[in-house]
Amino acid sequence: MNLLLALLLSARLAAAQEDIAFEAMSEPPLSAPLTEDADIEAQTTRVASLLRCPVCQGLSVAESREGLSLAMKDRIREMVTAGYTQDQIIDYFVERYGETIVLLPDQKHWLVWSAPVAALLLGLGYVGWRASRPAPADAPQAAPTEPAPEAPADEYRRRILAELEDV
Amino acid sequence: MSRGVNLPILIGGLVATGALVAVLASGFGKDPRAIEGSLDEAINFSLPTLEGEQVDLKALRGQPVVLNFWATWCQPCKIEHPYVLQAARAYQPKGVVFLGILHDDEASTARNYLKRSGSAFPTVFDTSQRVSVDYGVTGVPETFIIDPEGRIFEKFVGPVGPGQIEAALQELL
Repeated sequence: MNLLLALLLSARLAAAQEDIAFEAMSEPPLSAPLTEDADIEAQTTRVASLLRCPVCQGLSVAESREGLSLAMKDRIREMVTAGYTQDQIIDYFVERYGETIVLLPDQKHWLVWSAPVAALLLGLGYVGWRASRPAPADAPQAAPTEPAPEAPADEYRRRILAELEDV
Repeated sequence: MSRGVNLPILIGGLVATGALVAVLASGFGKDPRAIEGSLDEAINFSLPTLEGEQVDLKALRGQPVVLNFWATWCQPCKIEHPYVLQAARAYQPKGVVFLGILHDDEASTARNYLKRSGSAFPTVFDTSQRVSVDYGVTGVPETFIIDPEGRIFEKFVGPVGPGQIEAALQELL
């Protein structure tokens, strides 16, 4: 019993140490002091979250802790402070890194935005059309009053049973 | 028992498959991580060299400039280093300015590296990586050739091979 308790305690302790280590790793590295103005910081984070970190996999500039992303965020902060609009800042990065730097496709790529909606509407339309369509006139319809014709499986079963009775 | 072909479904399927193949085919051969910026004007900067002198890009207007972003921790930079030196030794006497830009590295480490591996042109250090962002650099090495009017004439992403800078400069001059 004591051994079991000791094992449980040591496992809990190890897990707690791992949590502490993880928290230490996930702490953001020390960077330039934040701007006093909270609005500037909020706007910086908003624009940074629209841009892709060019050296990461699936992270925005706002989320990434890579040196280049921190430099990009500093540049965004500088431009926000200088009074540039969100579109102007995004244009600045698109000019340097291409359109793939923006996480969401540009509105001008209307096909990218409209294709999923069009596909959904087409699918729903097709399902609706199939559901509302009357059955074809030449389709065989079972008469409710007549007994159903004997299925081949039942015929074989009947013959097997008959032959078994003969044995 | 064979069933007849449902023509509308067949045509719809072919159109959808054709569109999908066309989209995928347009991306074949492209590196999805490739960065394709359209910057054509060289952005000015003023940075200190490893020797402590200040370099202002604007002051070099009128001369072709080769900007080489590099770092000592970058293996491809070490591979291209002799080729960049070779180009610098051949074209500096013809009025081309070569400038290294140290990217995300320590000045003292770079000084030691250049002492060991040889140097033919000054290197400035960009501690905040501001110039890297201004030029759309995502990694090192990257090399920009700027014409005398301050426009970006050529950009090499990754290590340059033997004669590559010389060929671009030949075309520019």
